[in-house]
Amino acid sequence: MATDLHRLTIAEAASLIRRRELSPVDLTRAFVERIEALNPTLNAYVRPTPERALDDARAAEAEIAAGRYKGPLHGIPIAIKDIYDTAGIPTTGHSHLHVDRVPARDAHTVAMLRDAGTVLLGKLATHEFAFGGPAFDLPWPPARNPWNTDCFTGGSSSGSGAAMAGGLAMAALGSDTAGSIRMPAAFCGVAGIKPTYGLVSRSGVIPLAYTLDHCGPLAWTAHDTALVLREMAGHDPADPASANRPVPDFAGALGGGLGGVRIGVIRHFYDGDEHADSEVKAAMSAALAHMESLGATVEDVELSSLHDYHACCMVIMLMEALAIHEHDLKRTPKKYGEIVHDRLLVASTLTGVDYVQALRLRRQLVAETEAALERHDVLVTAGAWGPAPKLQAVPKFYLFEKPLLTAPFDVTGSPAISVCNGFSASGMPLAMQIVGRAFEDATVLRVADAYERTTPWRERRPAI
Amino acid sequence: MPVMTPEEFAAHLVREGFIVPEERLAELHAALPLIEAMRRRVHRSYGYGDEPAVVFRAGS
Repeated sequence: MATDLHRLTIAEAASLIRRRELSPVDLTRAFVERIEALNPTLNAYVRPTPERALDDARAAEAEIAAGRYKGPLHGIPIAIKDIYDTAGIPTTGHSHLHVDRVPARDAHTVAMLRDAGTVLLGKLATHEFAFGGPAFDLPWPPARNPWNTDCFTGGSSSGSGAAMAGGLAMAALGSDTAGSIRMPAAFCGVAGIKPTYGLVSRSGVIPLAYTLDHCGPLAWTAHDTALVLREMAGHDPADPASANRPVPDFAGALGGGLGGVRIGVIRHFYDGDEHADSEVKAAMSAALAHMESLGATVEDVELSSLHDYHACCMVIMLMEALAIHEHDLKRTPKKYGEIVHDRLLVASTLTGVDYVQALRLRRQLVAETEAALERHDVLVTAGAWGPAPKLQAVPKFYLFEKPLLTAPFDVTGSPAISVCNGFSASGMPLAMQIVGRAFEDATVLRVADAYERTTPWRERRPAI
Repeated sequence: MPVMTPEEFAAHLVREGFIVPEERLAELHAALPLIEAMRRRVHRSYGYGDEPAVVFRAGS
């Protein structure tokens, strides 16, 4: 069993730990050994913390033995994107600019997960400042896709996706400004949820764009993301966008079918405004037919062009990112990797008027998406244009070229999850997104879980 | 808005206080039409009542 511990889901491991049939120390040791063996190939971690992990695991084991079981994350090994502050552990944003930056305090969400009894395996690779990558001129190399190490993981939560698919953690924290949780989830064949804007605190997380940044988890299954989200959601007065409302038991709402669920398909995003690979379209058609067979009603919906959503997202993101980095970019430009530096210099040609016009468009796009979600319980669209490309083939300005299928739901702040919905002929994962009404993250998770439980995709693992 | 010439772009970067990466200036300049295409998409015939998404409630 010891060699297969990394294949347990959180739900499975938590059940064993609660019954004292699995030692958090043994579980953690299995991940520490796997990280030592595979991280030199996958580059998922920029900083493994094995001593801290084993200390956390021993503490969890002692607490559970003393009858102080905290819940389903107690003794569960997780990893954190290196933009979340971790007290006493460097938090660099994967940048030369902050290579020696050691926060004094944990980010709010990191503290919440620590209180829940998680075990910290280490800090994960990201694109520089969750924006610039994949890149080879940063302090650490880019993460590689466990399904094919010549391929891109997606970004910017690149290490998070690689760690999940490679079995190097049971959950990973990511962040999503234009798709940075869902793109790695898609290319790496795992589940990743961008929660409703305001549900999860951003305080203590290095920002990319204040009005678009979302923090959330990646894991092997939607069920596992539900377990992690429950422990990292909640009001934080230190985050001005944080919503003050109760956090539901997301996992407790799982397990049903799709009877009566009304699904709206934004087909024109991937088969009209732009065209996804034929394999993506086929996987989407099969997934929609499957959900219909589970009792859902499925009909197409029409929103504005994907290009409008993407342009809105990019103009806002670039202007807010430039405002955040302006001082350092002018003072110490050589501390930045070429991608962040050059993208922001190009973006400096945008004006304040452009920014406000994008914000005016954003209000309209939010309104039309909310109207579509009055008629449907969830919206569904493709997760990516195709399987992961080769790492070396990703252009510097790709964000400005073909629109991202994920960007619309950062614009609207809607909860959106990416789940695996098949594989390409080359053996690489494909993905779809499920999107819900604001603060109805539980509905999104329920649909994703029902799909995952009744399809075979969670049975397949990378041969690494 | 017409895309800047390479000379105008370099002058813009200097005026804004950035150090011009001379060796990559042509590459950066070639990306300006991509930004311009996005800029055009967010400019609409908005009315007075079309407020930006960040208008806030005082005290909230």
